[in-house]
Amino acid sequence: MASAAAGAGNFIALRLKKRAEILRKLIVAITAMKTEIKFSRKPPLQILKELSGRSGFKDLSFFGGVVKAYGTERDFVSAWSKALNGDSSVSLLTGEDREILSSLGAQLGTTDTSGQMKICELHLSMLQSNLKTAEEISAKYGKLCSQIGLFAGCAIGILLL
Amino acid sequence: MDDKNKKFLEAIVPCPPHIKQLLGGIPDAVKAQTYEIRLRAEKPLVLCGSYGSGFIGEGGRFSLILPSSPRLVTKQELTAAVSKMCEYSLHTYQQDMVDGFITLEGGHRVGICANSVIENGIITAVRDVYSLNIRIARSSEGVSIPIMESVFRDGLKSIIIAGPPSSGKTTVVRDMARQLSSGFGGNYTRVVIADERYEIAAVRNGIAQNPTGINSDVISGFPKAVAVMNALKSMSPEVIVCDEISGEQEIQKIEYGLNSGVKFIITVHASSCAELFRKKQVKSLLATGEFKKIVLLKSGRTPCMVEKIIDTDNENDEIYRDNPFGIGSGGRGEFYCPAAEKTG
Repeated sequence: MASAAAGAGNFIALRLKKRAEILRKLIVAITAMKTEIKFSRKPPLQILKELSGRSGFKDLSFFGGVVKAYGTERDFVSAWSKALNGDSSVSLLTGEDREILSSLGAQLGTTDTSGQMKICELHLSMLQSNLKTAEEISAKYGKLCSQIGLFAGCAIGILLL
Repeated sequence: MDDKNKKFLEAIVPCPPHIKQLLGGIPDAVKAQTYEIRLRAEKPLVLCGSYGSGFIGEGGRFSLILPSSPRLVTKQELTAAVSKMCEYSLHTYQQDMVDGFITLEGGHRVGICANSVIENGIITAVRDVYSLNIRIARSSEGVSIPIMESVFRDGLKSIIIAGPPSSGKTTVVRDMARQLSSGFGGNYTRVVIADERYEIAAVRNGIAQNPTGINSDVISGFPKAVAVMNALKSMSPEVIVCDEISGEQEIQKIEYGLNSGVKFIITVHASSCAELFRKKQVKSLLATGEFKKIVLLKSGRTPCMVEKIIDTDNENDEIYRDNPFGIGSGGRGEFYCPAAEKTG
């Protein structure tokens, strides 16, 4: 019982840490996307295809999910939304994080290069702000959750005895 | 499935779903003869082909007479089609849109009519697309062989392909590049294609959509003068292929290339010999003494038909005269060669 409660606490702590990790990877990926758009003007779908093949983003299956969904959906935005709502690699993100990604997906490829730069920068700054918050929460509450879980487990164990 | 039908179905992929469904349902014979699909905002869907112009009714029936309820193309459908053609990436296709065309997978080209956005006197973008013309790419492998057998029988040389619009100049040079680089005459000639407007090789996402041969390189999107210089500096070509030569700078670079021993295959707009020899750039090119043959293509509904081939060393010496061959005739036609007559 005690170990189950401690495990639950650790699980919450891990989720908080994982969210920050996903946000960090998304920021690196969107920065790479921005560079590709600026220097090679590749279409977003092609960039996502390339990103999904990079070893650093292997566990971020969201990009591959968009590419896969594009095969069945009628347009890029629908494919992006489908992947955002269905891919497990982004399931730990909060509603706010998802809104940022959703907004990015709706605007990718809709303007000229300088417009795309601004769109990427705007969404990057929003994600960076969320990452900062996520790191703070993870640092502040991550340990706390594990400890509360452990204490709660011990308390339940003592009470049962 | 017939290759022409396959090409037709490939070209309609970016069309809006309902239009795609209607077009997919027209008779195979019509598909095979269609070379253009025209989508105009709030206007009937029009197909153009060897039958003239045809329409699609609301029910999907093809007719050469405007039906009482033709299938109209909505503005939203047109916008959706443009987005799909651009792979949902305007920044990628911005320059192509400004230039008035997009190249699709399979080498099909889409002509665009739209309003321009001008900044400091330069067109920077387009808006409000009004109409699209999907031009279906057709396989044309082998159309240049009779010409090549005639002009390159005594070795490689620089030539000019002239003709009016839609006479098949680009098709001929594309096939020449393919044949030369794929072992024509027993050599895998090193060919560089200076494809400024993506018309010859139709490179999309780094892959040539049209067959350009084994030993060929494509420089896409560069101004021809720059492409020629880049090719000369780093690709050591034996032949450079350029489409639609017009500028002074291009001529200068071609002259530079000729002095380096490279042969050129170029195309020029001209409906007749008189028009061709009036052109300043042709005069400059002929003055180099390197362009030994001029191939004049015919105007008309069937492209790649040769009107005559002129030996520039002797302007009166026409190797072919009014001698159709190529796509339309399905054969080489009658061959007339004064030199052959002399030698028996």
